[in-house]
Parts: sequence; structure tokens; C-alpha cells
Amino acid sequence: MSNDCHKFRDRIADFVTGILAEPDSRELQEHLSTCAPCRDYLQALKQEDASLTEYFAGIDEAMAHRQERALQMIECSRTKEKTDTTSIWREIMKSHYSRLAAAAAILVLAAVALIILDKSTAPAYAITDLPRQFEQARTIHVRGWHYFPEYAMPDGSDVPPSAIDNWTDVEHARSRYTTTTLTSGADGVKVYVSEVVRDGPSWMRIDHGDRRSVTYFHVSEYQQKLGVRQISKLISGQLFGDITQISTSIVVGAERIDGVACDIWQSDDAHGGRWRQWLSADTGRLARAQFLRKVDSGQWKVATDYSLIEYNVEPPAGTFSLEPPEGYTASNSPETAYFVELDGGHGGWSDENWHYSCGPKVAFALADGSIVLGWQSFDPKDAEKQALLFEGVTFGGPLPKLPIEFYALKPAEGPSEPLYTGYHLAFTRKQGRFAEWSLYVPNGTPPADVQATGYEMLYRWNLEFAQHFTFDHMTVKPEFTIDTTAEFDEWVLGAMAELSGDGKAPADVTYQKVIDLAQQVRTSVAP
Amino acid sequence: MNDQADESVVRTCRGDDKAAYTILVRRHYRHVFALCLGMLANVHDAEDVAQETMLKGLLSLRKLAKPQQFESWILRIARNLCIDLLRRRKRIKVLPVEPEAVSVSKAQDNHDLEGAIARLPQELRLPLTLFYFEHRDARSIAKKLNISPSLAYERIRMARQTLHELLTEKGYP
Repeated sequence: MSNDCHKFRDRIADFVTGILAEPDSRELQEHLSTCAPCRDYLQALKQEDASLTEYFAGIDEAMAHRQERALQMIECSRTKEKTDTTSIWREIMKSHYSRLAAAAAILVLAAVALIILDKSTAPAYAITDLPRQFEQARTIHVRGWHYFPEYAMPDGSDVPPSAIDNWTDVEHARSRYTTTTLTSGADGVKVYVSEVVRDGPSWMRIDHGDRRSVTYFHVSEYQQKLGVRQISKLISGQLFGDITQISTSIVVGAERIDGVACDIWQSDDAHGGRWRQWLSADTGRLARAQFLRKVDSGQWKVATDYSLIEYNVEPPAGTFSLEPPEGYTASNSPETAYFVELDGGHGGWSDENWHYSCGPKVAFALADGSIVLGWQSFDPKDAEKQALLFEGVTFGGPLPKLPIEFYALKPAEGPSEPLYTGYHLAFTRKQGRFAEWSLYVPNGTPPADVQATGYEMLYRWNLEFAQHFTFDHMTVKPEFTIDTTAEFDEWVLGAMAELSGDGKAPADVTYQKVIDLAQQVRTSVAP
Repeated sequence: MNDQADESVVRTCRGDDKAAYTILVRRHYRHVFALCLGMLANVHDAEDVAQETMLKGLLSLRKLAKPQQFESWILRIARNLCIDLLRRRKRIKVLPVEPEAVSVSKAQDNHDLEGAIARLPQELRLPLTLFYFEHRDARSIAKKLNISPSLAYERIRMARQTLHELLTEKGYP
């Protein structure tokens, strides 16, 4: 594509939208008469415009019905009598006698609850030991079903559940995971099932359903190592949230699974989710796990049911094979596999015109509670200008004035103290993209569960002339806590090297220097 | 013109004639729904939030300081309810940590138009959706989004180009 074509691509889009000015239109026609790729581009956009028109018209067709449903709902709620709990309560409390009766009833209920709790909360194991089961396993096999309680098929029936069959071979760093995606639109609900097979640095995604194809990806050695290290955290996350979550669990019942007496534990998280685990009453071994969500009717519905959980079972032959299954075509090859960038699964944000984008890359906690965070904030259209922003920044000094500057962190949930102020450690550059590496030091004592709930990244704009945008909370969770020089070299310097063009971490960053910096900051801000 | 018409209906509703609110629903439901669809990229969610918006509008009509601005007020309610839902949705998505989590909005089939629309950044998806619901009228879109018509066109252009990229890219695991 020539430079000219770049200019005309905007005009082609405007032409399809119907707003291209006449002189521009003439110039475009001249260009199109000599440029086949631009003609193809125009054809593709026109085709897409036709598809979009049809797609939205399809949605628009049912508008009258939707509007009537809205009116009915409004009518219902307008005529419904207000009998909420507060008014009933107020009614009861009007009378002196009913006040006494209510107080007595509460006392009885409280006593019964105490007896029930007392009987069932003395198991022969500690629920907080649960993560260890995964850390010690050689292989982990989880089977179950995904349900879609919030959605229905066009005929009103339930969306059929989608099977889960996940294998993790911890010893050999291999895994096979089912991924389920649901889309819901004018033509109803669609469920896509794919699997990702990971064997060391090579990944293969298998798309089932109509597509029946495989796509290859590869990750760096560093990301592969990080993935292995995080395997038990990953599996724990699916089965019972995190350690903070399970520590709030209580026993809500008992049930036998495959002849084994199990306690049923339950906890609600802060985001409308409910977790349930079935643990052997004798050994604490996890036999089943569920994740539930509250649907519109207020009922709790099972969203995921891991009905079988087994450890140290030999996976069937071919489980981790990177060969396409029979009848599946490969859209690329292991040699042309797509490279997966390190971004810690955090994603990022960009402004509406995509001039600026920003986001975390990877974070680690240090034993003293401070955080090392790699992040980016750049103008992809002008990488060279950005290089100037890093001139003169020094180790331990203020952060560079990047377009969006993550100047501090604070706990993402609970009390918003302490504030973690950012200091510059180093920057790296790979293929024109800069990563800033900063140390965030808390000005007080961090809450105990802050690492599990993560940190909110506070930001400010540094370019007065740029169009600012706001974004929702951006949070980051450290991978784990670093407390030795060897770990720092492997993980923090490893991540810096990963995002350096020459594959090397900056020479002047060491664990000792970073720890000393944190100490120095704490001393200087101490009251 | 419409603003003045809204003003008198709002005043009637604020009296005892709650049934007059039907007029406002019929007049504005479509715009509210289109805004919700542009923000949420899901027809069912858009319908739910549009309903909730219209109900909330009725219940808080007394708080509307300038009755002639009913349209921008009701769209603001819709936008806020959408943001609430997106926050909740994001949390639901994040919870069961990784690859196996059910993601509702991420399209895996890149050749699927609906999936690609859902993957557009909201800032681009919203004007693009309104473009098709507002009969390709940039002024109307700009008014509803409180931006200039030229910016509305710029975003539609970017939405088209990005959508084309999404429809022709290879996808990620």
C-alpha cells in the first residue's frame, strides 16, 4: 500500500458513510481507477455497510414489541402496592406487644443459628488449606458444566449447558482448557466452545462448532515460566476465588459425593457471586465446586458446576497433542504462530481517537509491601517524541511525564488508605513501545488482603493540549511476592528483559537498590 | 419543537396524570434502547436497561429541573445505568480468573459481525449504532452524545475502519 493509499482509506470510509465532499470524491474516484487494493477496500466497506444496515434493521423490527413490554412493566410497577419489608416492619413495631414478640422471636432465631453453626463448624481440616491441594498435585482434572442462567433460547427454553473438561499437567507444564463464549443478539443466543492446549511455549486454540479449525500461538520462555508458577493460583481462582474469599466461607450443609461424606461450604463475594465447595468431612479434599450468580428474579442460579475434581490421574493419550483433530483445518502453522504479548491479562485503555493508550503490563509485590509495576502510556503515532519524555528521569526520582501518568496506587477495595506513591526505576523499549517500571511505596500499613483484591491505579494527564478522556477503575494485581535477590532477578528483571528490544534488563536496577529506595522513602515520609 | 412538546407532557405527568408518561415512552424508548445497545452491545441487556431507564424516569420525574430537557435527561439516566451494568459485568468476567471463564461479550468468531461490533471500543460502537438507528443523521447523533457533528463523523469513520480490521483479523486465544 502506498502513502497515498493511507490518505484515501479515510476518504473511502467517509464515502461509504455518505459525507465525502465533492472535490474529495472526485480525487478519490481518480485514485480508485488506478489502485486495485483501494477498490477492494471500498468494496469490503460497502459490503460491511450493507450487512450493518441489515443487522440493525433486524433489531429495529422488534422495537414496537420491546416498547410495549416496557409500557406493561411500567404499568405493573405503578399499580403494584408498596409492601416492602420496611413498611411491614414499621407496621409491626407500631404496637408495644408486637415489639416484644419480635424481640423474642429474634432471640430464639439467634439461639438456633448458634446451635447449628456450632455443630457444623468444627471440621477435621482447615478450609484455608485448600490451595495447598493444588500446589501438591502432579496432575489436576476438572470436569463439569457451564450454565447460562441469565439467557434463554428464542422459544423461552434454557440455553443448553456447555461441557468443561480441563486437564493440567503441572509436572510437564502442559494444560488443556475449555473456553466457552456466549453471544446474544437479534438472531438469538449462540454458544461458542473452543479449547486451548498449552505445551510449553506453544499453544493451540481449537475452535469447535461450525468452524472446526485450529490456530497456533506461542509465548516467550518468560511467560511460559510465569504461567507454570501461577498454575495453582489459576485453578484456585476458578474453583474458589482466592484465599480471602474462602476464609469467609461457612458450612451450610452436608452431602455424600461418591460415598464420601462432604461438608458444603459457601461464601458470597462483593460482586454478586456465590461460591460453594464440597469438602470431604474427614480429609478436607475438594470433591466438587460451584459458582452461582444472582439472576434478575433474585434467585441464585448455578453458572458453573465443577462436578468432578481429581488429582494425580494420568491424562488420556493425546490430551496435550498439538496436532489438529481429525476433520479440523489449521489457519496457520506452528512456524507462523502468533506471538502473545506480555500484558498480564490486564488489557489496557485508549482514548476515543486512539491517540493515546495506557495500561499495566505486569506487577510484583515486594516483601515490604511496596509494588513494582511495569506500565505503558504512549502515543503510537509519535513514538520518537515520547523518547524525549524519558530524558533526565533518574532511578528513585519522579515518574516521567508520560501522557497518562500512573502516579500512585491505592487498595482497590475497602479503605482507600494507604496511598502508594510512584518512583521511577527504569524504562525499557521494544519495537517503538516504551514500558515504564516504577516502584510504589505505601505511606502506611497496607490492609492484609490487599494483594488478593488488587490496587487501583490513580492517573493524571500531563499534556494540556491533548484531548483528555476518563476511564473506569483500572486495577492491577501483583503476580506474587518477591523476597529474595534471585527471585527479583528471575521475575522482575526477567519481565524488564521481556519488554526490551535487546532482551536485556536495564543494568542499574538491583533488588538491593530497590529495597533501599523503598526504605528511604518510608523514612522520609514517616511522621 | 419536540423539546417543547416534552415539556407539556412532563408537566402533565407531574400532576396526577401518570398515564401521560406513555407518550414520553413512545417518543423516546427507541433512542434510549439504541443508546443502551451501543453501550452494552447486547440486545437483551439493552432491552432490560431501557426498561429500567423508562421506569426510573417516571419515578424521578419530579427531580427533572428543566422539563424541556427530558430527552437529554432520560438519555443520561440510561447512560448511567449502562455504566453500572458494565461495571458489574466486568466484575463477573474477572472473577473466575482465567482462560476458562465464560465471557459474554468477547467474540471468538471474527467473521461474525455481531461479535465484531461487540469488540469495538464503546466510544466507537455507540456512534456507529446510533448512525444506523438515527437514519444516518450525524447532527442527531451528535446531539444525543453531546459532541460536535464533525467528531461524530470522525468516530463513525474510525468505527468502520476498526470494524473492518476486526472482521479480517486472525483472532487471539
